[in-house]
Amino acid sequence: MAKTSKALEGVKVVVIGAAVTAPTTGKYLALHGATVVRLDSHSRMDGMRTQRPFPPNEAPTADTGVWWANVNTSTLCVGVDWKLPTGKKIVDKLLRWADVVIENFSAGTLNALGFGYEAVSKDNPEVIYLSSCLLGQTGPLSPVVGLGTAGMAFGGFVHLTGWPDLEPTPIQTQYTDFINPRMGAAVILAALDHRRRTGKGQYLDQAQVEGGLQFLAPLAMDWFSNGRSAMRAGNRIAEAAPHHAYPCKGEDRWCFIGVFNDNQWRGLGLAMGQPVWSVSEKFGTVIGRKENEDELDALIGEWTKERAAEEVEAALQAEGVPSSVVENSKDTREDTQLAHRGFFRRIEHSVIGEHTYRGPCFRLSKTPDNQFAGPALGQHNFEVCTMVGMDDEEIAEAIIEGGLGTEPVSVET
Amino acid sequence: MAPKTNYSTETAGMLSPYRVLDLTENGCMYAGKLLGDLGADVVKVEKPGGSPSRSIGPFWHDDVHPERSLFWMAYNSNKRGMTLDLKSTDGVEIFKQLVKTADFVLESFSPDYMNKLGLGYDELERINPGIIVAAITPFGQTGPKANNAWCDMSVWSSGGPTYLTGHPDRPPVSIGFAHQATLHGGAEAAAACMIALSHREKTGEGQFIDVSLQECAYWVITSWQEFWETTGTIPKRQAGFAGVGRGHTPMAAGAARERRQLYPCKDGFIMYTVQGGAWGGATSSSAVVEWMNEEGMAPKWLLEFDWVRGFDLSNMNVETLDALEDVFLKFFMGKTKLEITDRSVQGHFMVGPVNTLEDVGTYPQLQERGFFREIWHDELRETVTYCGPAVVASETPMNLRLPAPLIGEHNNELLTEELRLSEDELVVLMHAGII
Repeated sequence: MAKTSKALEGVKVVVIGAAVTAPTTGKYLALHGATVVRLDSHSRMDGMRTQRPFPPNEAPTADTGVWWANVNTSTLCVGVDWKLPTGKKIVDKLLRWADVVIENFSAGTLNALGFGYEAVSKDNPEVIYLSSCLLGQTGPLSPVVGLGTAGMAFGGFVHLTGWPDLEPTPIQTQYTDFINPRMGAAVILAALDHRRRTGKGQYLDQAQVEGGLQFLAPLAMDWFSNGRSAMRAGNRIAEAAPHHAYPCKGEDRWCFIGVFNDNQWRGLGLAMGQPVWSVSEKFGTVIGRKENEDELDALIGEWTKERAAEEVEAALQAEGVPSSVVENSKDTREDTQLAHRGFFRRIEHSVIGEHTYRGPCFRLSKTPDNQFAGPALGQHNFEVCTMVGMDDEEIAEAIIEGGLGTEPVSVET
Repeated sequence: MAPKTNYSTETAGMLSPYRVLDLTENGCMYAGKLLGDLGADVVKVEKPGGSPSRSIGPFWHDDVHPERSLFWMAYNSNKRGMTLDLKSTDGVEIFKQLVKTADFVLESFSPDYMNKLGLGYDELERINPGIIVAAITPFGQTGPKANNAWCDMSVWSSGGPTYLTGHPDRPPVSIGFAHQATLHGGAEAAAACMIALSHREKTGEGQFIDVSLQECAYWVITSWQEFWETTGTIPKRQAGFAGVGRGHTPMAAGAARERRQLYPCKDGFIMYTVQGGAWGGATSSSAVVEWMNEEGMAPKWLLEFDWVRGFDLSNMNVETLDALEDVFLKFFMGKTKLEITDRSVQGHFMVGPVNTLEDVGTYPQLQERGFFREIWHDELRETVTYCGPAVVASETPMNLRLPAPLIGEHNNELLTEELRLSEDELVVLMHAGII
């Protein structure tokens, strides 16, 4: 059988959307060889294109946002104004060309534009069409618009995070936007496999809050089974003590330490040079450690704060104690393990130049990933239009009319 | 009592032709759970006496018992279960027999552990060239940290999210359910398995998948990951003033301060950010102001405020931002989470109610969608309410077909019916502690 080095070569994908969820779902497929067309709009482009930061000496433009380029690696970008007939025609053609459509507009938006599943599947019945929005396509609150910042609040993550004596803590990311693409990619590819066997396409309704709840499922079950509504508890968990981020030498330096059993506790004592308190009866049992956790945290903190976080981690690792420097964004860039794995790649971008991109979180032994920089707005207009069967004349007409473009037009139209 | 259940006899799922052998623990068990939700025949293999993950709480009716762990139930529904001691020669042989007809093996042991058992990828590939093996480890199979001692929060910390979570004047803090690293790793492994399956469809060959939890954690830290390289600054945790979101954020250059992201309301908190400018922010803020005005709570200056041109964070002084946020603070204090959310639907502004687990469990939106599902548990003589699947699929619904297995629940059907072991052989295996 013919060998191919790209697992998803030949799979045709259109991503219509903005921000993180739909593009990241597409990124999984793009990194592994699918042809992923990132449909953007020069008349109302993805706002994330101009999200900070920008490289030094680059003015903020549609094409200089490094985060957008990072999220959209390995895709082709077409810039379309679908309010114009030539632009709408290109979208229609793309949606009929696609094996997979991934969109994350608010519920029902694409239906109203004639780009919804019902319309597309009439001509393209085998399409696998994933709609991803905050609360799903049905239900009383389905029209609610929001990013993963809202998603994590709806789903319970924000309430659960932080200190019991303080207000809840928004997690400093659009958290559910980074949970759902993992599931979305798996479900899309499973649906494609089902299609290979049966010829049947389908519609996939992803409610980002429901995807997020997979990662809190036992606590939701705790509500139903025990009537308990879980509360935030800092770094405390039922299964371990100590379990905390301890202060280390330097400004805002921390080491996370978790002790789950007696072996690890003995290791911690050895790493600390067996201070008297570490062999006291009070801390000799897991129950004792749990009961005296405040005192334990203070004592360990006294030891860690005299040492560099890296030094604490090394001493604890030598004794088999779960621990890690609480890495900041500089630490991760310099992390020896990530370097060993080749996780960060230097890649050339048509406007930004060379920049560092994160690779996928897994390595496939026989089909390595294929990463190139996220495209400039409309960078592949010609290539994509040709791919869906348009001739030069049609493409020229679309450019003249404004249906195709590479420069963002004023947003106040 | 009649069983009240969503148990479905529908078997034609997306992945129904495939079998998964699941050796994972902790949140990594979500890999097999997702494949099971997609219709695969997932066999959870645990050591005789039961998996250590059965000791993770909370517990059904607070009954601390290996068959009552809600953590276990949540991540092992839609799986069958068998016990097997992989450290025994018989156990290894039985596992190899199972690999012959399997499509995927999922494992979360330390690197090299499977090799030591004689069940490394090379060996499994020899038995079944199409086998896809996904190994989930904290740091990947090789490298300086590959054998580090770890827990979920230590590996989460190594990838960057911990540093960015919490208050500036307190230690970095965990996401409230400290299994996030392994859960991300599980979901990631399922996606990777599907990519490998596509390759196998074309070539017949399986492959080895090496998932790193550290890398999974790194992926969640959003655009903060870009600041060190481009600006030489290290983003810090900022609790309710993070302002990650649309358009101008993270903090616009020259802004007086980050905007408030968390607002107290009548019955808790909501997430909201005042915004303006041309990208839709203005309409969102105006919609809330309109609501305030209907209730006579909008001061005159606010009604005249130009959200499109007057809201420029890089030129806004602290007094203006304070004044704006104060009005919103006062207004939201008189409203409940649900009132604000309902209004956001008609008003088209973006808000996130900070729901508690009670809110989640009773949320009309989730109930209407039938997200929570009840499955009858024979051994408990009761139904247990589970979360439904991650996605609603039109052609091949992702149903909850099976409750999480009891210890060794399907030993007989797998070993007797499938591997054709005799009853006598089962007795020997049981006595030797192998099943």
